[in-house]
Amino acid sequence: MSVFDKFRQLLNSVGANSKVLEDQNTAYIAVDGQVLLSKQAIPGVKIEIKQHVDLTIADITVTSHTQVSNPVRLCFSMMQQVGRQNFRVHIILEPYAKVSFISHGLFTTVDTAKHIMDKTIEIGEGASLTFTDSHFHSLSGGIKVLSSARIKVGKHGYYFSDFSLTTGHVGKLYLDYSVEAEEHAVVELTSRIFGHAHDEIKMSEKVSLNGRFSHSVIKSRVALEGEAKAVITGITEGYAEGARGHMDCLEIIKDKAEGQSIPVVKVSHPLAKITHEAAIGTIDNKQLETLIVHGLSPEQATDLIVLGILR
Amino acid sequence: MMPLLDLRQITFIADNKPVLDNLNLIVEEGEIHALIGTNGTGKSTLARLVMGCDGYHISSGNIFFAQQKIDQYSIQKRASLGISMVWQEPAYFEGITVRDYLRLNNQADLTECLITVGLNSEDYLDRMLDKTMSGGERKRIELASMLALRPRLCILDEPISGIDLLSINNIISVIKQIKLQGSTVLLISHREEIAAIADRASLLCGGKIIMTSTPEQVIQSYKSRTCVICDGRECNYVSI
Repeated sequence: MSVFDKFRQLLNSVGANSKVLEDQNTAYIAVDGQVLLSKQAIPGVKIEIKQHVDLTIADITVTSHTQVSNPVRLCFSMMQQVGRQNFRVHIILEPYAKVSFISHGLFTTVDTAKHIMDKTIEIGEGASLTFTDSHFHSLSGGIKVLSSARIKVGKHGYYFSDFSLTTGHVGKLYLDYSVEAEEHAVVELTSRIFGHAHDEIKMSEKVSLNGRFSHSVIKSRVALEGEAKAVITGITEGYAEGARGHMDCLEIIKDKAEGQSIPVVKVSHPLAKITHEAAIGTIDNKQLETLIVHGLSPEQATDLIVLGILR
Repeated sequence: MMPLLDLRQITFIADNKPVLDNLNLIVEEGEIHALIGTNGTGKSTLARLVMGCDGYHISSGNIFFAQQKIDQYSIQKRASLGISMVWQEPAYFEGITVRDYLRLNNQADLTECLITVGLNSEDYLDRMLDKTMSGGERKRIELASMLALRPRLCILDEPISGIDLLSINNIISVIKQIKLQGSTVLLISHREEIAAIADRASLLCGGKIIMTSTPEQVIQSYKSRTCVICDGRECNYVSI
């Protein structure tokens, strides 16, 4: 079995259909460790890869007014039990382009590893990007993920990002996203993370609403059990008339886990408005009892509530 | 008829004050039994005590359900015996659809359950049970869940709160349907038009049941504000 076949098998094992990589209308990159296994560009989506010894750089450009029907796939795996992956992705959406990205981090067989992902994204005027980033980890807890992103959303642009890490043990996750929004731009950042055992999560998401009538939402959902720890920092800055931002952080804590939420709000224009809400605690008793009176055990009810907030 | 729920000399003390005081109440199997009383008389407290909610354990007395003493049973054990409840303000859930929720522990026709409560299954089955739903919609989903679950005893705490005036008749027909499906209903309300659909009713005042009779007679007593127990001190009734 070739390495690429094994990679496809891994992709299927997490519920993603590897057949999409056979579709000639789907742009994709498939990387194992530091090795590029395969890539495909399509009309309107240019992909250039530069490989160094310990760094892989991908430049992806979606040309002006292109509406990409199939999501672009970014698939990263580490099939070795020990390793390091260092990736830099630069995505440019030219004006009025519209595209979705689906990124898979496949680390289900890893014992000890480091995954470094550094993204820069430029979304042109009127362009729209939906970026879904799902990580699948092993139970070792030995993986360290350092993920950063610097994003600029142009006038009337749209950026939606959804990061999830709910399968396996997180290990150590350091996530640092920063978004700048211009006039009438809309930004939505959501994250869903389930920490177990000794997992450590440090997440910082920042949105600067620089343009008039730019809007943003940061929504974080974290469940922690065992002795897992999480510090979730949400920062929204409103610098212009009509800027509207909201941050919503919910952390459910079980066992000896510890959660912390740090909302930072900065407003420098009298007609900007930023709001935030945060809740950290154990499972809501009324929710629990409602499910129990419908016939679930306390354990089943807890699982359903946690899976619900991470869905 | 046999008593399904039998509360004997129930006292519940909270913050050193008796909320329920030596209360007796019998709910017969198969009936709709309305429990009425003004705000703050302990109706919802009684519902939670019967259900066994966290923090609600009787200070003295006994609760019998189908001849079994259930005072020390957990909420889970009580639910397994067939007791279920709709809260006055039901909980919301992120990431759980109406379909997931209604499907808990039953194989009922969910479309039928939703139609009965006045909701279209195409619009609602895949909706999240989160705060995008109005209070009235959420309450209807909760009633639909009782239709699906068919509990032996269904406790409905203020089932029309949050329901618009035009829909009250629909909710009344849902409560009757719950009974027709074989559930006994303990209907808690301070609204006479709801209590009127019961087979029997009890009036709660000053922590005691002061009257059990036909709904008409209990409503009459409730409206005429005659309270022989607390002499008006507890519930603002004018004593006779």
